[in-house]
Amino acid sequence: MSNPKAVTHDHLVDVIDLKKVFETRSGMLTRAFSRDRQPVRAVDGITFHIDAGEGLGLIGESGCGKTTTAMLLLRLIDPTAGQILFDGLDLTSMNTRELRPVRRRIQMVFQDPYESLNPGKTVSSLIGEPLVVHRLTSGRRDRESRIAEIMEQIGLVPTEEYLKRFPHQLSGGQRQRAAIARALVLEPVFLIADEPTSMLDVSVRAGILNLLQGLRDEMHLASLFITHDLALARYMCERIAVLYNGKIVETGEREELLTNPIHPYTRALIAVASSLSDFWARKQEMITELDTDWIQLPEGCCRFHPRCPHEHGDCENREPDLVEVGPKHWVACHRT
Amino acid sequence: MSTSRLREILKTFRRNPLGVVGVSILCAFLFVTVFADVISPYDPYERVGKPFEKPSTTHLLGTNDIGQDLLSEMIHGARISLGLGFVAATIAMTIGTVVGVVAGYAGGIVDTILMRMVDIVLVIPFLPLMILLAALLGPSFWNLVLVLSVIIWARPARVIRAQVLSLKERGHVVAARSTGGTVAHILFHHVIPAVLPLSLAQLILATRTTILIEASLSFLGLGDPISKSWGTILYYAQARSAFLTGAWLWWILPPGLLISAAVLGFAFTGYALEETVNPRLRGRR
Ligand SMILES: Nc1ncnc2c1ncn2[C@@H]1O[C@H](COP(=O)(O)OP(=O)(O)OP(=O)(O)O)[C@@H](O)[C@H]1O
Ligand SMILES: [Mg+2]
Repeated sequence: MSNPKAVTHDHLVDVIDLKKVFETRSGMLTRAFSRDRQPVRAVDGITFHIDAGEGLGLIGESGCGKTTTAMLLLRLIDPTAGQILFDGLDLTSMNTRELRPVRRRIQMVFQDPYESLNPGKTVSSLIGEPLVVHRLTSGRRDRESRIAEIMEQIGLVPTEEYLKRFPHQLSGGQRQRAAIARALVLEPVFLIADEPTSMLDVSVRAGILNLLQGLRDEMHLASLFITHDLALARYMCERIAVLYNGKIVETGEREELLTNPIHPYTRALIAVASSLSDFWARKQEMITELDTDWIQLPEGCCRFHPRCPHEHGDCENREPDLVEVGPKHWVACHRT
Repeated sequence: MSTSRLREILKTFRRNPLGVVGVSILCAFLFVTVFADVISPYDPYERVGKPFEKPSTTHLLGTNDIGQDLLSEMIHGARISLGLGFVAATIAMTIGTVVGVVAGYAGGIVDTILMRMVDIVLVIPFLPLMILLAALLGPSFWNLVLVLSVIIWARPARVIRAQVLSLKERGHVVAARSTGGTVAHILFHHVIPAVLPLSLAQLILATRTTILIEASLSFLGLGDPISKSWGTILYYAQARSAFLTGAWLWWILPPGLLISAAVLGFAFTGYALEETVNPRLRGRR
């Protein structure tokens, strides 16, 4: 899997050794005078694939590079290295114009519906915007009926009530529904959802998740579901990839990963999710607390080793590769 | 821009005393400009009295060297001074907005080149340059407009570029890009509507500057001698030694005060508006 040549085209999405390094942009003077600011390796060589109609959960703690990965997949930021193949097309070599038809087929629901909707536009023009951009409807009448149709589908009903509202006249849940409508009105084949419920009130989360799940089945959508919540990933996805500090440390089918976790980080996550009191009792043997900024680790060591409770000679000297430990189950740890 | 945003801007603006004063001054000037023909007692281009008359009930501010009514000149002068200032500022603002939006959104080499041009315009000592340009092009309304716009566009361009830079990273602009919107679509639907209020504030501030510069140039005899702006009135007053005789009181002071009032009106309004639409400038909050 970590071999870039092993690409097969039956995958809808193939991400190969993708990297994003954020250079801290600074002027000549600051660059000359401060040497301590290192580039941030936000995504550091990740490889995964998603089949048509399949849901992959990407989980990891805050700052591990989840949003960066999503933005890279849509080419909203440019990768430092690596390849993104979508339906056999290499997105990394495309320019903005070539990307437009692709962006119709890949859509994203952003984390913060308070930010992702233009505050100056009405619901109907927000949902109609993608249709206008891609010239998908013939005339106003056609567009309006399409907008009403998708609004009913995502549950902004009665539609007349919401059509002329501005985002600030909607609740968080309704905003996220509008954002989902914007994404799905183009009938994409691949949906990226970046923590779509994390900014929402707990009471409306289930509604949004069920909506997404229902739409996935209905539209046979492949999806990348980003979350920091293992329980959510388990509910939403068939496969799960665990991201730690810009690296995928373990990936596998949902049940296999949850019942037979191998990487110490995955184990700790599962322990937290299943029983908090149990986790606290056994915390010492699961994970080491760490104050230092883990972004600053040197290259060529296991990213997890400062927090890893297990000793192993190679962890500080060599970066572990993903190795297959079972069917579709891959782990990056020297102990395996 | 949505009505809700407009209403919000108005609400914040009304709470700014400086802005209210500024707008009142501008309204007064707007009234005078529009109804100049009705308000002014005489035609400013007609000889209606003896030369160098002192203020009296028939000529409230006296007459000039060829017997034209000074009060009427000043009332009509508002049209020319404010009109020219506004036209020049509008042209400059349009250039500034386009440059700012393009530089901010395109980034990279385009941004660098445009911003270098802005820097050059900003560091050139502008009074000598303007005198030179005005002298070269010759005195006329449109030459003056041209000279003024060439000088003024740079500052708004820089302000608007900064706004676009932060706007570009906003969630809804990124979302529009992810949807597959073309650059033109994003600029016209998401970027330009959002910078327009700031452009308006910059336009008003620029008008202040153009009015002041027009007055200076005209006073130096580099303006259009045929259309009588406040600066031109001052030029003739100076040429006829009004500074040395008692006539400065009614020939020089009133246009001077009018220019100051107009400049203050535009400055107050502009700053208040800028503060309202650009929350980063709002000190307390
Ligand atoms: N534009 C940027 N410039 C510099 N560094 C960045 C930039 N965007 C993200 N980063 C850094 O990259 C790392 C990964 O960020 P990212 O937003 O992908 O995390 P995340 O997993 O989505 O976190 P969260 O769960 O908090 O959303 C972070 O350390 C972040 O500070
Ligand atoms: Mg994120």
